[in-house]
Amino acid sequence: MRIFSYALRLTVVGVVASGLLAYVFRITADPIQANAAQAKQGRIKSLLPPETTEVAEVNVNGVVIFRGLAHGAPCGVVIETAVEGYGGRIVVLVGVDQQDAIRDLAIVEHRETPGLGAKITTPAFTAQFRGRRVAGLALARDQARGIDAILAATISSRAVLDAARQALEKYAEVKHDR
Amino acid sequence: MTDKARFLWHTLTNGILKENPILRLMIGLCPTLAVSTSLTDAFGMGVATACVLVGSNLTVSLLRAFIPSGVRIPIFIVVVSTFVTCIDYLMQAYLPALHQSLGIFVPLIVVNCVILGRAEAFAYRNGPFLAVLDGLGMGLGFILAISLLGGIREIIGNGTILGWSVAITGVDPVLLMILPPGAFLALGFLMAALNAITKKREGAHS
Repeated sequence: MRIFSYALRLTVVGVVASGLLAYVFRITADPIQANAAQAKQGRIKSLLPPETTEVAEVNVNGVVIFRGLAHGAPCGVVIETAVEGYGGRIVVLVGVDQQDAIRDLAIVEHRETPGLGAKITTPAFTAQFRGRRVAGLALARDQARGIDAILAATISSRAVLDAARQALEKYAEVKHDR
Repeated sequence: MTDKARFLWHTLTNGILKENPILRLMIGLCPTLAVSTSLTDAFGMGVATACVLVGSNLTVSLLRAFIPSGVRIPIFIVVVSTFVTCIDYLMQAYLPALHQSLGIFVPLIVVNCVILGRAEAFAYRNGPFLAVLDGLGMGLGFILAISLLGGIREIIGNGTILGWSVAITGVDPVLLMILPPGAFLALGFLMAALNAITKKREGAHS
């Protein structure tokens, strides 16, 4: 009857392991969420002009945007978009300035290949988006003075480009509902 | 050195060169080849794996009286994946900065058979102290081999090391080296080099 002993021991290990996992998950859920929220706040602030004193999260027709205020006067908007990359979802925060151009963007979440697609997070790539509007959002291979794609990671590069375009489109929708 | 000390020393250093998990035992190659595209990534992956290896060796060794050999493999898998997931959560909650840099490697550790291999080949048959020593040695060997691989691929494939440019002007980096085929090429040459060195050494002894 060895099989029963096997089944019993395997069950015990399984139950203890799931209990432990459930416990660790419960005690860490709150700090993890707090960390993520804090990191996101920091990122949003970094995409708004330095004179920003206050960030307001507003829901305009179902689109969540973060409005930057400098002593009560609007000074910029941050919009979050998600697109499919090469390895999974890419979440991008796009900061838009008062002249409707991209101020800067930050990759919040991605699963691109380390060493290749993961380079979308480097400033060398993201800085190229600064000052662009919808018309300027194209790769250098498709349009003069376009954005230089990351070598051997065209899909990842295009995904970020799409995210930026979507953010600007969302921005155009909500812009007049200030 | 007494026999006991020599034995302990051998257990610790065994994984570094003589039975290096990557270059000698050739286990855990999948995450190794995937993540060794730059020195920093490779080192991060190495450190994360080494920590899990020490922990899982200790756990398996402590539990070995309770684990019947007929179902040991499923139990190892449950123990290792629980261990890795707990570390992932705890790191995310209390060491967010470290998680920022090592976080993407942690889920990859579950599929690393160095962990399972050492549980099966060593920790299941030895006491907790020896198991920790073996985990440390194998972990160091893993860090060493994967960092070498990452460094070589970064220099040749990207023209940088630790992000600093070392490219020779006028010579483009060989992109192939940071793509998957480059991983196999670099690994092959590294193994050949190690074999040549050991052969020479053995020749000198005899």
